[in-house]
Amino acid sequence: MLRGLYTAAAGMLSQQRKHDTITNNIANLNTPGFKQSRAVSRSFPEMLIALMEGRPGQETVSFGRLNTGVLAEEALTLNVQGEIRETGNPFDFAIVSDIQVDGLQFNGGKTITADGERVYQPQAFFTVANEAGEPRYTRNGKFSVDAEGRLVTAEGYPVLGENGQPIVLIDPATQVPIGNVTVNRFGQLLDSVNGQALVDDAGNPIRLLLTRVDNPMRMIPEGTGLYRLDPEDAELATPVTGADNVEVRQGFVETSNVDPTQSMVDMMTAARMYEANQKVIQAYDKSLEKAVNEVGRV
Amino acid sequence: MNHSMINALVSMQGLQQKLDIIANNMANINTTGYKRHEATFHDVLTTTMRQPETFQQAGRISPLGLTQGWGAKLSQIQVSMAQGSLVRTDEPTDFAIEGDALFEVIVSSLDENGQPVQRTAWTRDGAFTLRALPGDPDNVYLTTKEGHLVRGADDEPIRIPNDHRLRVDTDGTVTAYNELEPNMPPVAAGRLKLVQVVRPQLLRQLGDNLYTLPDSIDPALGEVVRDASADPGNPEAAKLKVQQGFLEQSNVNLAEEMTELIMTQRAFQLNAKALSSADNMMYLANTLRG
Repeated sequence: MLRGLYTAAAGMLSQQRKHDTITNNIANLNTPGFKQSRAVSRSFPEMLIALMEGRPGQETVSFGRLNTGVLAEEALTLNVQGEIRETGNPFDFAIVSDIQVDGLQFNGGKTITADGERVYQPQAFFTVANEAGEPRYTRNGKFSVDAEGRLVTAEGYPVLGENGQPIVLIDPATQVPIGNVTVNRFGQLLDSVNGQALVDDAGNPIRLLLTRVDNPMRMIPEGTGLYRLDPEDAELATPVTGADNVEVRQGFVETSNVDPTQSMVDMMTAARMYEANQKVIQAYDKSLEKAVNEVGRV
Repeated sequence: MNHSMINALVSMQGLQQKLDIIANNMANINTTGYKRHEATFHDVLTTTMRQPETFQQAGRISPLGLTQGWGAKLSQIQVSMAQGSLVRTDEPTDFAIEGDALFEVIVSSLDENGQPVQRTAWTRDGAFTLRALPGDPDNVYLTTKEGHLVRGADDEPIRIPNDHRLRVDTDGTVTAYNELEPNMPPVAAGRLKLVQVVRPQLLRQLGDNLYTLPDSIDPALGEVVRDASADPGNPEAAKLKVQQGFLEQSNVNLAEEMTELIMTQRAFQLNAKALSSADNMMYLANTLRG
């Protein structure tokens, strides 16, 4: 069979995947804390091409290498800071993070070291607990307070404090619900009225648990703004320290970092590449037609 | 249906809902005590297409598996409790609250057995009126325009004797002055009950500018709302003021709504473009065979 027919079909499939990723980015143009992703393709393994039954004494003639297709290999999240927009809602939070690593100069969330190694900039995330109590990370800081006084995400997942427990906005001494909180740029919760730090049952000040994730490319998006780390990557997550350049802003949200213009261009490109591959298939079909119907005609 | 189409479809539905909310805010730009609604989105479930171990090639950056999102949907609608501007009306039965509190009213309705039930609700809309109730010819009651009785701090409806003039101080104390005989001493008629919302996110809309609590929450617990005067040490409560002869305008800002409208509409358009692009790709697949 014609080898290129399958190559073009693989091309159509991978462009379809690319298109899907871009439409998902476009769909999340207004989602707070969303990070756009990009589909990366890889060519099929190379194979050696040789001519069989050549001249006597030289049965096979090597022609060189050939790739026979392409596949959408991975969807990479572009972990760069989104714009910060003021909402005035006291339970909206945004993370502004620009974590520096000694000796490296990040540009667009990554850098290449002198010995050619690719390094991604560490990013900071809010830490929430899912139904099973496992930590999940998010940049979507649109929180609210539920009937039990817990600070929760829009889906009801509790936001964790520094002690790993959900943040509860109830005064432990008097059991009076706390309505107004101020959160300073270190993520510390303060009483809006007297400026005193809020404390938990054990008397420790409550602080939002901000997690620093080294190499955020290892995070797997789960939807609803949440990311998880595989168990073997768990050591990449550490609490943010004072040395990290991370700030929490109350009354702001981080907007999606999708660039609509770029997405539009990428989408058009993917659609046209899909069309081009389709035309290639049609061309192969034409040659097959010739071979089958005309060459063989007696 | 192909993936791109589902993405575009799901998010166009959400954006349509957001357009509806913006339209509702704009429609209520002149509604007394209306609080603007705000919609937010989140991305829906992301699926991971499993890949075999052989996909772990040199140069791969992310863990195994191809992750794919499925669009965005409306995740929550928040009510912004920000103060609206006060407009002078000089009507003695118009009230506006300065600060974070609500008036408490009694909503009477019938339960499933046809028995009258009373429900507590809260409102920022202080356009009240005085009304006579059957069975009490000597007094008039302070009610909302829809006829819901306004509660006093003693949980009884606020009422004043007939032919009396209503006077409310900034702390909510109600006094009635006799209009026929100005020399008579004024009558104390209780105090308007003001409640503070501790958890505005949990309030439910009842329509007619009224808020109520979901049935699962007992209002007596004070978890969602609490009586402002019950807590004299609360400096927020001390700042509350009732202004007689004023109405609170809606806190909708037209410029802000217009900007949101433009953004949402453009996002909708972009998704529609994605949909037609996906449609074109399906056409190409269908016409592979010429």
